[in-house]
Amino acid sequence: MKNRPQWNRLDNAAKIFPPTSNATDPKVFRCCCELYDDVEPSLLQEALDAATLRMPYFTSVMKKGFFWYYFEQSTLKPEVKEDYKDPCSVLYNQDRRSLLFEVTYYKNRINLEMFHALTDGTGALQFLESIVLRYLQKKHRLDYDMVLMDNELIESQLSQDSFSKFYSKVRIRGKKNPLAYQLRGERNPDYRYGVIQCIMPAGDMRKLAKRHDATLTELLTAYLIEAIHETMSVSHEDKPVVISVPVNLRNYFPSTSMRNFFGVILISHAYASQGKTFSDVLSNVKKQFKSQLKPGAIEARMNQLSSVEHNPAARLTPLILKSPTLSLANYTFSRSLTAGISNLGVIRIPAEFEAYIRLFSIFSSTSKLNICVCSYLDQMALTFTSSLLSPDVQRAFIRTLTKAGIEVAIDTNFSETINMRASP
Amino acid sequence: MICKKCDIQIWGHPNCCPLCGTKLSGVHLRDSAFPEIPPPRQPRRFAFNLVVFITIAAAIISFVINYVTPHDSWWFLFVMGGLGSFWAAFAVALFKRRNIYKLIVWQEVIFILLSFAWDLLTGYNGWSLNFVIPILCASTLIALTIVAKATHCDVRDYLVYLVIGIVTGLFSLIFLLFRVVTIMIPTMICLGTCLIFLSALFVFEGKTLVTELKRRMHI
Repeated sequence: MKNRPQWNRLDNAAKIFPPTSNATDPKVFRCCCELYDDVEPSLLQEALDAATLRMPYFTSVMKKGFFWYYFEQSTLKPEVKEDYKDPCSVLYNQDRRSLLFEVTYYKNRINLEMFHALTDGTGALQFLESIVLRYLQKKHRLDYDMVLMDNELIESQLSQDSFSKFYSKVRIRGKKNPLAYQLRGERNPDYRYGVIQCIMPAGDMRKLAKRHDATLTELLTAYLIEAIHETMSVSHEDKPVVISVPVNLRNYFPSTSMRNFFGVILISHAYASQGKTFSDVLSNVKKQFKSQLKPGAIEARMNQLSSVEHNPAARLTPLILKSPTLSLANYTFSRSLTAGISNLGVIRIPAEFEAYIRLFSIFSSTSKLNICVCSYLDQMALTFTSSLLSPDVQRAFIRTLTKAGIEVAIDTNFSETINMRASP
Repeated sequence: MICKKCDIQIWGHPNCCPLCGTKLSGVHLRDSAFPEIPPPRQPRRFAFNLVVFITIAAAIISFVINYVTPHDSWWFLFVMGGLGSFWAAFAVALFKRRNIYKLIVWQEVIFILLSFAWDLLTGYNGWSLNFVIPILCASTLIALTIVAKATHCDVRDYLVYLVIGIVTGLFSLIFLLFRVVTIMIPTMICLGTCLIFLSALFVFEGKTLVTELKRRMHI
């Protein structure tokens, strides 16, 4: 008998990604790990093969059923390549049977690009970590028991759909979101993203947040709202600036799933009605975080999102009708957002490996402006992605940080040729 | 490098600050982690534009000739219909070119619809249902099999398209029962082909077929 490949339904958060992935926003994100030495491609390939063997879920390809998309595990072999394309460009093509992630390297950096339907930032970072640790173990012949680390995680747990596991009928009624202020301007050519990666001392950033009596995410959200406000004309001030903040649900439910398990909360501030000073913004942001992150509120929001897919009528609608409906819903929802910020938190790796890894960073494709933050040892990497040509918001944001006494070093994919292509 | 205006360090070798455009000063600190990516190649854009232009020009010219020469019918409408049909088939070929099985099935459906529409609009002589559609259905199944065997690909990758092809072919049974079809031979050949393929599927790939259908139809 032929062995049949395993298949998985898409989890609740993943369902939105395949029908809404396009050239403007391919729903792809990149996790990077920078080492001290240049990468050896052949060893990296070995490490990648070993890691995918351990986590076969990542070899899934997307298939279209009559009612839903689904994943089917494939025997396709991921191939390590030197970085060759724009960051976060399209990975999923509905007519091509291909893997939904890609591993590339450039000098001393290892990049993992991931289609968001497969997993979220936390899952991808776990996968990247597993690849990098295997690579370092081979390269430096480290005596570290990889099996021990892996055995803590069982495959069935890794590919568990936590959304359905923790689904219950407790939910809140969704209310209509008002239209948000939108950043406008000329876009980068060829659907390219401008990536600006800022490296800052993590300790200083935490101290700064403490001085404002806020969490780091709250402070960064407030700074982002302020930076967007600087580019706004007074006539737009009646529209709220709305920041979407993904929340890692693994912190609220006992889950070790490597699949998507996040929810999104919206933080908004309307300058015309809610005050114009920075302390107004910060206290408003803090208040909203507090009320939306209450355990009951998180659960109710998650159930509200999942309830749609538990609705029999929605389930029985053919995919051909479902896809345009989901695209439309996505478009309507995106009009109530100005920008996004996701904080992946602190990345911890076994102490044996710390001497070889310099930096972790993560960033995502977006149709707006997006910030991803993660920190490793004393380095915080905060990365902007935006399809807009002008870096006004980024400049305002970074200058706020430097004025607060933070040392910032930036690295961008900006090049003189991009500007040449943009200007006719 | 350092931008004094923004008070930041910048990695790589830029000439001016990516944030404010000021000329940078200082020494090179660290290499950038981003390689320079050349702009994407524009694929055969000109050829495509040329085809679009020729179609539009042909439509205009046929209308003008039809209008200025003595005429008792608006034959330019046929030219337009022909061009439209060409575009329907061409567009499908272009958009579905990456998956040959999908392409074959899409082309089958497009040609079925087009032939029926042409038959109907030219005063229904029945040639579409009697000849074209059954022959299309049977040859689709044969084409799918030839491609599958030639490319040695996994049966699961084309199974669903084969099923769609068989189901489409079996529809001609309805036309036969309601006596819409007047000439028996092509339709009977088509039905026979479908049944042979169907039994072959069940005999050789029965289990795969059942699991594949379960996956494709999961609610």
